[in-house]
Amino acid sequence: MIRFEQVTKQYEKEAQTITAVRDVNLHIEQGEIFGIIGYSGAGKSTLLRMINGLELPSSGKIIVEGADVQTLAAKSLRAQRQKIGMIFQHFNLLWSRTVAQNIALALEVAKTPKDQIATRVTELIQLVGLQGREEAYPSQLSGGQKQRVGIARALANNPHILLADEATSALDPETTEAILALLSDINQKLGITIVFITHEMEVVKKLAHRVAVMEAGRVVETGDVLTIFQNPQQAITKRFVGEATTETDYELTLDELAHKYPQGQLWTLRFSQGEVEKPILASAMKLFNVDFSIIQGSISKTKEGAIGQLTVLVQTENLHDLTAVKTYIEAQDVKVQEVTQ
Amino acid sequence: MLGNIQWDKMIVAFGETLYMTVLAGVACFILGLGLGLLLYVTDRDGLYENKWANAVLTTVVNLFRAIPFIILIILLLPFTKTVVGTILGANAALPALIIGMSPFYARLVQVALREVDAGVIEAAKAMGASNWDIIWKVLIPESKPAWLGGLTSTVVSLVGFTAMAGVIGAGGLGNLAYLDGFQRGFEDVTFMATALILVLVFSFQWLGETVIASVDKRTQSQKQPQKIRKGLAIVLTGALALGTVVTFASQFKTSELETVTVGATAVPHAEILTAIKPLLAEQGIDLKIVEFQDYVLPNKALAAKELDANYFQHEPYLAQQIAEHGYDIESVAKIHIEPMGGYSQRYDDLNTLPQNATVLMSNAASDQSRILALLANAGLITLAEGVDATSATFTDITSNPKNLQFKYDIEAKLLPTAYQNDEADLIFINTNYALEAGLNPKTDSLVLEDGDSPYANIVVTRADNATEAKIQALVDALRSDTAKQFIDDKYQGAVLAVD
Repeated sequence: MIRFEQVTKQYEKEAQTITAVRDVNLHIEQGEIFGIIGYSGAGKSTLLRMINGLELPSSGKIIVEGADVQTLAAKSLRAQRQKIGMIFQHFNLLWSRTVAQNIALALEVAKTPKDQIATRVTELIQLVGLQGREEAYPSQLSGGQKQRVGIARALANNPHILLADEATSALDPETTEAILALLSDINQKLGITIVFITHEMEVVKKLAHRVAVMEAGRVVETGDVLTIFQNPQQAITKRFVGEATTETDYELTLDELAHKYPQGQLWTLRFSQGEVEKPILASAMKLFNVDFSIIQGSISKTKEGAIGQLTVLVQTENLHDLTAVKTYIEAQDVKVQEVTQ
Repeated sequence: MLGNIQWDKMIVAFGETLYMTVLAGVACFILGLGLGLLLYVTDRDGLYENKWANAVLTTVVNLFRAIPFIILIILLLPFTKTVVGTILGANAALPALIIGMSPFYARLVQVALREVDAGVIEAAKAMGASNWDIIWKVLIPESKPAWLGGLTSTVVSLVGFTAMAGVIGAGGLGNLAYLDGFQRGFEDVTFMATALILVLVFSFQWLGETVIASVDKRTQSQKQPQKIRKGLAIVLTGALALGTVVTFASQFKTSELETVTVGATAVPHAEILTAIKPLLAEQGIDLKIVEFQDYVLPNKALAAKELDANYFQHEPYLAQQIAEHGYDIESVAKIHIEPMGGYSQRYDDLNTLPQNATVLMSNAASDQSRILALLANAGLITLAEGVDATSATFTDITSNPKNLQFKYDIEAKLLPTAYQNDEADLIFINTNYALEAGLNPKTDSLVLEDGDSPYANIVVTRADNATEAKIQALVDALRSDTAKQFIDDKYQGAVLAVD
């Protein structure tokens, strides 16, 4: 559906060349919700805008629904954009138009006949749950309501793809939940491919099927959300996963424990839905001469099911046993990671 | 207290100011909006970024904004003549008003467009909007309060500029305040004209603010103007539109009578002409007086057939203008003289002037010849053989027994001030300035010109219409007993009718 092939984007700024996106290869499947996570400046915003041609690559290709975005003539590009909806962090609604008129703008741009516009606007307002606010101006709406208008506007021309640029970053947690639920719903009901960028792993966890992690213009890790959470490879991915699953004083506690029990080892165990119910630690204690003290644990829900994480302090007389215990636990499909100090 | 106000004149002037402001305002709105949009879209990162086009537009806009309005009027005279067909009247003021103010408004439009949220423009692009859609559906509506505010400022400035347009006889309140109020010393006229200008300015300002408040949906409170305010705004708009239309219609009103159009300066020429208006009306001739604030345009307008005649100058000035511009115009009659007079705060009689007395006069060469001839006549100096009041210079003085010290580097209009400050033993002042300064030439002067002077004021026409019956009728009326009686009564000897 969307394919990035060796895409690089460079800017000239005050005689300096800045590389925003470097050698990106990505393939986004039809119907999936694809998240791109990275800190600000990682290049995710530029990457997203290359899908609808708001930014063009310096080299490489972006193929969207079989068409090379860069080579499209202005008119075809505009036609293509009508099939790619986009929503924004700051909503970008026109203050001079009412809710209904804001949604209608997308239809006017697509030269929809006047009599059809009103019907379509009514449908869209129902879809995003804004009945009764048709005649309100954006200044009279809450942030969540504004984003609903943004979503309705983006969906007006029955797009195949929806691009979301930090769509929940300006919203409070409750509203974020509601908007994410709406987006999931739209993906399921309408089968629209959603590509979103965010700097919050929470959003990836709740919304995405697959995720790409970006750092300094590169995509450093790609995979389905469950795998990424269970088994993050890159340091930056671990940081994002950590942010989404741990308490803030976790690191401090680990330090303290390491000092207190220098002969012990700290392990972080990651497991998914199936393993949550198995008494793995209990059986390990029976089989080996080993004690586990639970330091911290959590279970988080993703679209594909629950994932668990448990940090334990392992103490034993015999260091040989540790390797055996590790092998035993990993045989149960639980990832074991030694926490180093 | 308001006794000098002629209400019919005041209403016509109000209509003219309104007419010029509204028509120029509409044109400035259209031109300025277009120009402002071009400035914006060709700018860096604009929809049609074009460095060269932007540089050219910016230069043109800055250039026209930098030219003082009064100079722009003069520079545009040939253009005005071609486009409007006349260099006089309210319509002739329009090109200068429009060309002068459109660049100003264009800048305000550009600033307004720059305020539009870049995110909203990006959203429109992402929707697949064409540049045309972005301009009309996003940029213009989203910047509406700002460009409406700019339009209000522009229209208010236009009201002020129409006053300056009085230079070319455009009429209007500013011109009335200057010619009838200031030049004739009728303070009530000045006051009323100013009050009406303020009424116009406040009306436009208030209308602008009302419209902006009703379209601005940016804030949550959305304090909409009350119904009564909206109603008032509609009534006011209607009234202003009506005034404009009525004045517009009157621009094309043709008199059934034969018209003779005469250019004149306000005092005393226009006043004398006004006095003989009934005499000509009896003969079925409608006398139209166009008042001028300067001495160059009346001849230019006459030569351009905008006027049938003018009445503001004397022979030597006419000769000089013909020599400089090659006009085919000529004097048809001497009407009156405004005698040059010598005044002094220190002495009552020319003969009591001491040795080495200082004599102050204007820096105009023609005035100097005239004064030298007058002093020679009075026996204070002797001039060389063959020179007269049109040609004498200081080098022609053959004897100066009192060794008079001549100072002649001052603007004519500053002479009354010099007199009040007692800056010389003898000060020569042109009668019009002496009158404005409250001096009575007849009783206050030590020496005064008489009707034999070549500096009598004349009626001038073109060679091609000098013999027309209506010109003859005009001259006859100006030399009639009615005119002479008026001059004697009104000016008490400060202006002398020529026999």
